Amino acid sequence: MASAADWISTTQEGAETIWSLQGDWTIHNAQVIDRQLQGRIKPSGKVAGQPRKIDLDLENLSSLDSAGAWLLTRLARDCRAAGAEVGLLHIQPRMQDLLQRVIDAAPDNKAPEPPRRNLGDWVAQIGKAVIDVWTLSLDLLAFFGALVEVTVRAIVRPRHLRMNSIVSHIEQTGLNAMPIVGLISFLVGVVLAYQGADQLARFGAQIFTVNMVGISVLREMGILLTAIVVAGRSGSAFTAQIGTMKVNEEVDALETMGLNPIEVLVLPRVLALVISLPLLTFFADIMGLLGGGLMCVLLVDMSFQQYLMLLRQAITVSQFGVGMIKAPVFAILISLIGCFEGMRVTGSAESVGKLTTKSVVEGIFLVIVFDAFFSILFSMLGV
Amino acid sequence: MSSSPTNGQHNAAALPVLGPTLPGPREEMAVSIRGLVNRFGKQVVHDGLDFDVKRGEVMGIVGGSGTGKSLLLRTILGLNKPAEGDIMLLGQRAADLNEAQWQRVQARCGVLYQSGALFSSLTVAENIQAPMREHSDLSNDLMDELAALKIQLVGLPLDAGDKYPSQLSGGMKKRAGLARALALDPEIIFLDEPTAGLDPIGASDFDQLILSLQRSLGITVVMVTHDLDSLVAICDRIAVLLDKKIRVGTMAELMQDPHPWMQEYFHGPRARAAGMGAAGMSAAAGRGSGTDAAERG
Repeated sequence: MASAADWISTTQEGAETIWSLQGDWTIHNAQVIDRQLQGRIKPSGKVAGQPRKIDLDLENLSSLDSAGAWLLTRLARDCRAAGAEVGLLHIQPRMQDLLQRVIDAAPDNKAPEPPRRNLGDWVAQIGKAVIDVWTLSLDLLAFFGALVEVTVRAIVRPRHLRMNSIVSHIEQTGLNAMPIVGLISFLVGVVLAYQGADQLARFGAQIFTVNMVGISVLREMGILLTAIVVAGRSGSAFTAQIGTMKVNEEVDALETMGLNPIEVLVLPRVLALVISLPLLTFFADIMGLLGGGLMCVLLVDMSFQQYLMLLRQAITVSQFGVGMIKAPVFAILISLIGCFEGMRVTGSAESVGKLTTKSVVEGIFLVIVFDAFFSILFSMLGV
Repeated sequence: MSSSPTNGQHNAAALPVLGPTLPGPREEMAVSIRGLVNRFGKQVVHDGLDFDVKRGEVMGIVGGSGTGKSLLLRTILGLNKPAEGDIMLLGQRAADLNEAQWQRVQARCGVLYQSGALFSSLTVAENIQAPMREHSDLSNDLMDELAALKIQLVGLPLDAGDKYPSQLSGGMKKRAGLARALALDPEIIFLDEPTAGLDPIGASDFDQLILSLQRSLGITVVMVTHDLDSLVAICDRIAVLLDKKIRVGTMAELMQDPHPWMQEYFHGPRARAAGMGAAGMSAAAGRGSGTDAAERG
């Protein structure tokens, strides 16, 4: 193997220069060779000594691969650009095919630079984003309309309801979510009571910890946490399930069998979530109150019976109702977004992943937006 | 490093036509396998399989569904650990190497997976540069130039370099996958059903591309294929996975094999349509398929 110093050496100088190439011109040496070649071609594009004719002698080349052939081709091109005539001497037969192929394929110049962005593009991008959001909202509304239509039809003729599917989705989205929802609400109950007791103790109102835990868990925390967990857990699952079916063309198969995909795939999921989310919320409320109760017993020096009694004075049925009434609305939002994004999957498995992420983000976002609407509504109604 | 003849080679001497192994030191083979056993639970896929691929040849691997063609490929590449067997890739015995040494051997191989397996988050040019980044010290400029060269070599338009795989058609994905497989100028490339999913014109273009690259770059090609046209057009020798073993020969040799599966495969209607009947006319004389092929032209 040639030493690093002499991949290319000048064997004859003057008007007719000969450069002799040596060693392994392969991809592993390409970087070193490239650096050495740069010494021969000046940044201005001129060759030192400005020879009229340059011959590249390949006799001593021990091996050549396509990277080496490219460097060789580029060297010849640069020399020609510098105004010299370039010839190749002693081409070894085993390298001929490769060299010819690379010369034929050699890109003349680098790929065209991507157009630079200016202010106009930036404005156009914002405009496009706005239009995209608008059309997306219209699509979602249309999807909701189609769902309502299918629901009405199912109510009129209940055999359109797929009970097996509904029950199985209730199990997946409700029953199987109980451990995680229960644990999270319990812990949030604990945290609320702990923080509340700490702050309220400063002005001797420690006893009101019970009011705080009761009201915040029943009105907001129970339903909000449940909805967020379900959006992450079941909304994403809906998108992934339906999206995978889209990729496999199963949805098209359903349609050509004369079945309505919304009726078969979407309606059971929406109904299942409308049933299971309120149940989960109720469960979360209980667990949250238990968690708060535990901390009250430990920190505020009361018995569990006292906690329950105070709780009964602190909250009313309407507090509970305010939380629960949001559950079916959130259920529709989450399942609608989940199924809608699933239906938007096209072609590749890649888009399943992308839209699943989107469905979770949009689901949680809409849940919180609607929660804010509910707050405004309830305060106007004075509940 | 043993170069003494094994049982397989004795068989090869007795049955020169169908012997799966070749005489000569195993270190000089691109791929050399002895006594390969692959099994899943009780189901045995390969049972004492011997297989040699010479340097510089185009080897086609065929076989019915479930005979373990892809598994054989995965085993050679080290993606599947066999139950038994001795595997040599480019003169290196897999069992003797540590992880870093094996990775160096792998860097000398290129693989084209069935659907391209291009990284979807990278552009075509970045895909081609990915192996260069890992296994060489090239500057960014040089990598850009080499990526552009590979894109041209596989017959893609230059502006394909900036596209993402999702923006390419099936045939372009395969070409881009081939460009990536060639990124490090490998000594051997493995192709898993390279023409599956291409239209006949695209498939035959792709065959010719592989053949011309193989000739000019001097690489060894091992391809799993179901495409009889490819077999006829570009393979020097063909390996047939049959009864958990392998039979290797040229097309003409394999056509004379009396095994019923071989008869059906190489003399079936699709084989005749691919023009095999003409190639094996002498072999098939008296069976009528020869005249059939002649009539079909």
